[in-house]
Amino acid sequence: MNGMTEHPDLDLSAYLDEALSPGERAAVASHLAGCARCRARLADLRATSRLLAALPAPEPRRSLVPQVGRAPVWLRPVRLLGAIGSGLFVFVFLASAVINSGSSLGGGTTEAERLAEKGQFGAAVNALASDAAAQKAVTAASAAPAAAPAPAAQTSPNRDTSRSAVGTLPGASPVGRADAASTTVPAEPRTAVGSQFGPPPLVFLGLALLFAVAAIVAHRRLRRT
Amino acid sequence: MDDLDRARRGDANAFDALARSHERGLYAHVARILGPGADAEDVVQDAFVSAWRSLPGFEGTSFKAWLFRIARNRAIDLIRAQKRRSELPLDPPDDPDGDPSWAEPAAVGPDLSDLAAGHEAFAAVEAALALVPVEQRDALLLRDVEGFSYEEIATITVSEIGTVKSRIFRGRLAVRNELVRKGWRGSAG
Repeated sequence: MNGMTEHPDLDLSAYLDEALSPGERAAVASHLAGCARCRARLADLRATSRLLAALPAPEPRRSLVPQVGRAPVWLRPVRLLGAIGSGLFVFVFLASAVINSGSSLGGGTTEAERLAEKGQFGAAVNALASDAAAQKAVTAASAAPAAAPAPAAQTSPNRDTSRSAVGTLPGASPVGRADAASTTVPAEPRTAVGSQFGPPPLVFLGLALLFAVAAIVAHRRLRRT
Repeated sequence: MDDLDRARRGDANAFDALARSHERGLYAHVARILGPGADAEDVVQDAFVSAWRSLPGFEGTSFKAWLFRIARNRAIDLIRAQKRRSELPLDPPDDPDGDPSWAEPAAVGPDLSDLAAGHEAFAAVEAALALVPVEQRDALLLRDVEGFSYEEIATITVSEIGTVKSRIFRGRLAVRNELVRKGWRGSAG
């Protein structure tokens, strides 16, 4: 044994890489000159190092270089509009859902609404007038509960008057007039979406999602630029 | 003025050229730490974005070393986060005084030149490399594949030179031992 009393295993690797100080390097070189075991180990480490260096590099499946400094000018407005639109439509969705559920809980459907749904708008207007007259009569009766009941002969002309004051549209269905006294009918089963004016609430939810997706996509693109 | 200077001044084309020249090497390194796939690709892409944003403040001389530092740190952080979730340590603790053992080659096995020849050999080396603890593997690849000096590796990995020396030695020995276990006779065979 020469130069070193122990095998310089740890230094063999650094010796291979020429990463030792001149003194350390000389000591290892001196040891190697007289130690076949360490020469064999150094050769193994060198061979391993070459094997690693010769490995083919794994390839990415896509380009990984971002388009820095070249974000399209429309990305920021899209992100902003997407975020605002998403919030707005979520609000509208919630509001319309609450309104619809309130309406459903509110009970029956008026005759006018039913007629309007069927496209009989003239009849619907007449029915509305009848509803108004009936409500007026009820209000008057409740306003003077202590008063003597008015003769039927007196109330009937009033109803006719109020009806004739509103008038009847040409082509209006007689159904509206015939059922004027019954202001509401029992509620019919409704779907969750409801049959209110305007689009169903789920449309607003869909729009909110659409805007949110646009905002997220724009945000991700902007993050990578 | 070179690409680095122009990129520092905000020239996106110069940065693009710089990034493209390191894209494959950076991905290969990260892919051997994390495994190939989407995670490695995302780490490299995020490293480029981070480098672009921090470039005006970059005062070093080796853009490549700086880029590797950003990317490997992100990769190691990702592994740490995954290990934390599974409560496993990143690597077994380094024992600089420990005596790593050398596996004895079998009497009969493939010669090194045979082993280096074909795809099977590369697959065997990749498999052996994958078994090396991640920080040893990281240092070993930075040295043997990317050719960084020990000082550069110490900077990239934020470690002492002695730690780098130990990791490279142990990493090489681990790969060598794994190959010997698969029948390689070693260079002496």
